[in-house]
Amino acid sequence: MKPKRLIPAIAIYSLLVAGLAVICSPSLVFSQATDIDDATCLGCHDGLDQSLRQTIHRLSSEVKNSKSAVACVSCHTGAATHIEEPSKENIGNPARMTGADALSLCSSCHVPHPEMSNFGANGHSLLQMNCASCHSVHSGKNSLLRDDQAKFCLDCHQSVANQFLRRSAHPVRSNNVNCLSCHSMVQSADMEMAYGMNKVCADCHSDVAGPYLYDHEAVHGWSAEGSGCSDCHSPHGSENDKLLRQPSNQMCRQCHTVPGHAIAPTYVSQHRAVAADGDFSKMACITCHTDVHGSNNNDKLLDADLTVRLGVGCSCHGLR
Amino acid sequence: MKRYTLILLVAFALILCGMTTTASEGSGSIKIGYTSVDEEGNLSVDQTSYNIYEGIGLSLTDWNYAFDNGVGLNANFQNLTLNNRVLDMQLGKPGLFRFNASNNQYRRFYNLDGSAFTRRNLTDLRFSFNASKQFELFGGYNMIDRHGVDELLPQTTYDAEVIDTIARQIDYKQTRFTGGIKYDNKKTMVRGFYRGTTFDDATDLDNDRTGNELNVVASTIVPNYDWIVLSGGYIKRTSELDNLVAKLVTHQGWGTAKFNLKNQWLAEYRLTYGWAERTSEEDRTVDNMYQLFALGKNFQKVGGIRAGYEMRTQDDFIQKVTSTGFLFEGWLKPTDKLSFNGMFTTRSEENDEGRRMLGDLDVTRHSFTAAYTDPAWGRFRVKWQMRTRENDPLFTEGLTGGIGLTTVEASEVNTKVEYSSLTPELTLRRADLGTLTCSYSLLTGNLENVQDSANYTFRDHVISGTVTPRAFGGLVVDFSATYFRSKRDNDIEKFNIGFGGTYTFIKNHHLEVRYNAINFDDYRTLGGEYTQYYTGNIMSVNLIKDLSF
Repeated sequence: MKPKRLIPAIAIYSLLVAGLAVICSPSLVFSQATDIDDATCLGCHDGLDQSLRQTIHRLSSEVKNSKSAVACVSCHTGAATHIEEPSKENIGNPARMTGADALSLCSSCHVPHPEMSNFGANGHSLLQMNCASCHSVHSGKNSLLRDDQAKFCLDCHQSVANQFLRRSAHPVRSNNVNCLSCHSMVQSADMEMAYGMNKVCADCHSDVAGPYLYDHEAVHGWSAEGSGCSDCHSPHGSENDKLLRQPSNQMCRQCHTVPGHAIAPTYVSQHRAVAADGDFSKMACITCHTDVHGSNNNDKLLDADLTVRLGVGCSCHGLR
Repeated sequence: MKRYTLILLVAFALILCGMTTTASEGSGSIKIGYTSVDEEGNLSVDQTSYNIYEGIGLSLTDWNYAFDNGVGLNANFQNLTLNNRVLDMQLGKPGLFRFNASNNQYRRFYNLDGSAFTRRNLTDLRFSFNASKQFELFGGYNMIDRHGVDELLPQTTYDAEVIDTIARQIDYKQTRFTGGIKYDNKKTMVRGFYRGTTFDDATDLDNDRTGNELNVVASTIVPNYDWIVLSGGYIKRTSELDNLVAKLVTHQGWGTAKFNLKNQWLAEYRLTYGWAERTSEEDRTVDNMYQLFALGKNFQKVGGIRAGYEMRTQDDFIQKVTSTGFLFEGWLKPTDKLSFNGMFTTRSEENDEGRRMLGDLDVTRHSFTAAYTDPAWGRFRVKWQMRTRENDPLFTEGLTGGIGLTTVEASEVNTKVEYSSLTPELTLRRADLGTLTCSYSLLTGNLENVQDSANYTFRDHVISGTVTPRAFGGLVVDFSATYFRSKRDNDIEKFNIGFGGTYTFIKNHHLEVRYNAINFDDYRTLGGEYTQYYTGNIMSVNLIKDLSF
């Protein structure tokens, strides 16, 4: 597979999509289902215009030169019947709609998230969730989210909530990060395959994201040796330090069983000199291989200052 | 840090001053109080209290100001006077512009007495401007400043009781600028942005690096064929060391086509193609491809099924790994109150060319959820998951060891992990009594590691509950408790008990009291400097005044 062969194909595909965007632009006029004006609705539902004032759904009656205003009946269908006989049952309300009905209504103005655009076929939509499950039209919050704090998501994702209780976890409970910091519904169709999940991690942890002169292949999502950060780290929480899936040597041994180290005792005596208290059992892989994500000094990812730190030579390993 | 706090506060004050002449309404709360922290044991083992500081706290919470012309201001400044401050501010007019500013910092302990710690300070500024109904310009600035001393935590391991600790000085700053444009005409969205990143490490100039990203995404509902949704994009990222020759360039093109067919049939095709070029001491080029086909059908509002097939290839021209996977999922909603959904996925990964350390890999995942929801009283839900992962034995000859070429006679990587979890949850709501939420989570599994002697089982139990009785007069209280027991490589018992109450003694004046007790024990560890015991009592008392203007 030669990368360059696909460049034209991707370029054509992108142009095709962009072309469709320009050529096939639909009408930009907001539809009014009936000629019932907002004042009629507000006669009974006093104050709801206030809740919409700070949102993209400002009522057309609220602004003189609206660029993005809508009317009550743009979303609430069946108003004529409702006025004749006011009841919660006979007025369309996206918040009470189920499944594809709400999605269909909202997508008449908004391009749905990629994950939701094929209703019933992906994660949240499989659970019959729809736009109103996470967004509140009458909310003044950012992106009309019902709540942008983690608790909102964790209310359903209880098993993930429990992972955040573990010894090491991302600081979700202290509100320093939240679910949206890593999980983006907007880009959920974007596989990030070239960079792997690392892209999300590297946004905050660029200190270990590379590149290095000598990379640890497993760190890279694009590598055949691993799928990136999540191969070793459990992002929601772990019993081990630094979100590691397994503690210390055990983590390394998932891939590395190197003769002369832990398995065969051939070189124990040499290494005993660098172990804490001269006790070889207190040595771990990272006692010497400190640069586990990559190194700019040596291909064995050894601590560049190992000889200084331990006071012994490491010439066998070519440590400069 | 104080500089950013000051900038945010001054900006907030200026905006408020500017508003006083034209604003129609505003509200907010001032909260002032004292937090007491009483801790004992190893501060580094449980993160619950890493970022809690003792002292006088001042917060401005839920500040909202609305102009007649539609401009709105929201601000939340938590713990302005303490180091765990979380500051967030938004100013915007829907359909015209939005500006967000936030700053927070997080402390992390690394040793027994907390003398080794790092602090991560995050500042984020974002704006968007709607040039017209269809076009939006957006951009931002983001900075992460982390400094302090990082130290490997002393932790028991399976075959080494104590890891030697190594202290490391941390002092780096990462800055990121973003600028982009978005076109959205209700049926079609095209968005593109450029992002530049710099990373400056004050402890080692060799780590300094620069990165940039070009990202274009498009999505459209095909006109006259609104049952077809097309999405696609291209991303190019470059990252290189400033002072050494190491450069990583990744490209990715992707596209999806989704078809909402007649009779509620659904079809989807997804293609992702990526390639990476790394220039360093060991140059490497990698080709990756991913394809997915899926077909599903919904049965009115009662149920649905879906099946999918995926193929992946990772090829660096030394090693080639291919995988195939299957996906089956479905949902059933026989009544408005009762719902079920389940999923089964499997993937098999084979090392076709060359040899990698992981060997061949098989993964499977099952999940099933049943829920009963009744608006009159609440919800009961139970979720079950099972996953397995199996690495096949490696080829057994000619493995290169750390010290020369060695022939290895035994299978080296032969790992199998089985994991399952069961989580029942119950929420009871009664307007005249209050709300009770409780859940139990059991996670159990088995790992067969490199050697037989390394086999072990693990088991976690988590029990949690929250009670919020209905308000009595001006008093609102809540109780919560969590018990956690984990037997893996460690043997951890942890609990957290919380109590909180808010009493309104005069209109718009409240007294808030919160108490948390935390206990952490790892019974497998040694004592002394390696103790894993921690207990903390955290109490805060606050006076809150609500304002409206």
